Amino acid sequence: MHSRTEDLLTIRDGEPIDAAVLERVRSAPGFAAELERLEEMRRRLADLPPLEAPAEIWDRVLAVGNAQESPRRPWVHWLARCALAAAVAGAAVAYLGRSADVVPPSGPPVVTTPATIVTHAPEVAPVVAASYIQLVEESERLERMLADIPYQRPMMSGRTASTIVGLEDRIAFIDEQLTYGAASGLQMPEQRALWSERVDLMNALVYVRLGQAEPGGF
Amino acid sequence: MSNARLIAWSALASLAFANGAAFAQDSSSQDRLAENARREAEVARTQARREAEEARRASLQEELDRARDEMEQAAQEVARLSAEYAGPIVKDVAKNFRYAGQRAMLGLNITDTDQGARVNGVSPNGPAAQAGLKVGDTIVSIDGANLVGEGGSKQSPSEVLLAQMRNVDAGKEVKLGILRDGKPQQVTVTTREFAPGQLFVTPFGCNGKGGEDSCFSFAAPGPNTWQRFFVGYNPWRQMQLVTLTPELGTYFGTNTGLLVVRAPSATALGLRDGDVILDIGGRAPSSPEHALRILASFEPGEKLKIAIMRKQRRETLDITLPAGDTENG
Repeated sequence: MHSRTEDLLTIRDGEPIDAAVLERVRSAPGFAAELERLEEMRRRLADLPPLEAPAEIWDRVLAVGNAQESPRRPWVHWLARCALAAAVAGAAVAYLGRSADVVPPSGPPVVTTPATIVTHAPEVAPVVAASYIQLVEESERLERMLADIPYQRPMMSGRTASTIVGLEDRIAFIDEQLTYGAASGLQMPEQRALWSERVDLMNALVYVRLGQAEPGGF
Repeated sequence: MSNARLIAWSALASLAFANGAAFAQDSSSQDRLAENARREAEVARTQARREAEEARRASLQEELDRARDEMEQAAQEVARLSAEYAGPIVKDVAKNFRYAGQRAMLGLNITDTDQGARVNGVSPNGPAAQAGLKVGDTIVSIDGANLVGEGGSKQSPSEVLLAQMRNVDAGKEVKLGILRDGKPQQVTVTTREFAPGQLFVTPFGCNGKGGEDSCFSFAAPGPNTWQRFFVGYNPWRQMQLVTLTPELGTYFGTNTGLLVVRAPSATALGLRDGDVILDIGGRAPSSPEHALRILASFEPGEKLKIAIMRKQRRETLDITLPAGDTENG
């Protein structure tokens, strides 16, 4: 039985979790030390004295904010750093989970970079997130381009037709897998590989269709 | 003036006049000759320009054809390498997806959202594309069943959609409720069978008893029909086809069909230049791509009937598809 990312996040956040799950994660190679480190950090955080917000802090924040000419407020930077840290932490947890053959839940995909997240996580994580999104966007762009290709020449060779059919069928095949993936929690590396293949195939199809377009149609 | 003198003057005048006329006539003839020569030269130049233009166009056409060939070869190579590269991934994916009895496809890929299933991609020329679905549409219902919160279900929208699709036979229509730019619409999609060679029946992970519980899974890339037809032997590649228009059809005695401009060289296929393909194995092809998709579903050695119009008369060709190991189309 595999651990789920939800379980790992629950453990990371120190929330109650089934003892059997905790034991299974703890026994996975590389997890015990990481869990120990997290628990130590949690203990040290818990030992810190409680911090009360100063009185009228919100009014002061507003006053500082209004005085700023730049649309970017200091807390935006702080939030961005927090978001980046959260993304890195999430990616690291996802990586740890993935390395132990974790099956992530269905829903919005978690972007991971197994090879680099540990050593260069802060720099790499946003780039990788963009690459997945870029693949999806590129696929959409190619679909629009395909729809805009002008009138096709009425005569077509069997070879061109079979090339087009081959590409279309292969894309349909990829789409079916991505659709099933949405329902089955397909892992991110597999999703990215499928999207990458889809973009390659769409690109090839656009080129073949452009070659088949009526010259006067441009 | 004496008569003799008058006659002499008249003769002299006549001589002068005749001489002048002869000179004028000679000059006019030379002009005509020159004009003719100029015209002939112009015609020759025009002809030369036309021939040069035709040669240039032929050369360009040749280059264009060669570029198209290279592009198609590159496209095939992309598909082949892409399939090869994704092989292990597809194998893993195949292990995960076993949906009993699913045979019909919509031709799109989706992801779950709060409202339903967002369309992330529409398979080109697939059922959903032909029904007008677009990237960015959100599917909210299928045949009246809502994808979100149907019957208090905890299934995700994509799970509900796939569960509904398991009850749909290929070729049947499904009605999809969609949101496009936030506005509700209804789209009817005629489903299609998975492309040949992409599915195989497998007892892997199923109960292995067949019937309703038999499992369909994606075929991992390998020597299946699709691959063989696409990158291997395909005797139909040499054909040149044109989709018949009603106007063109009057010359061939039919309104619809595919005109064979150039028949495949394999005589076993039975087609000739000028035939019009009406029906392949019981299916009427609507375009050259459709014809090739139908033909791809037949294996080498398999028997096939093709209904044609030949010299305005309907005929049926009984063909046994060549094995393919002796000729590479």
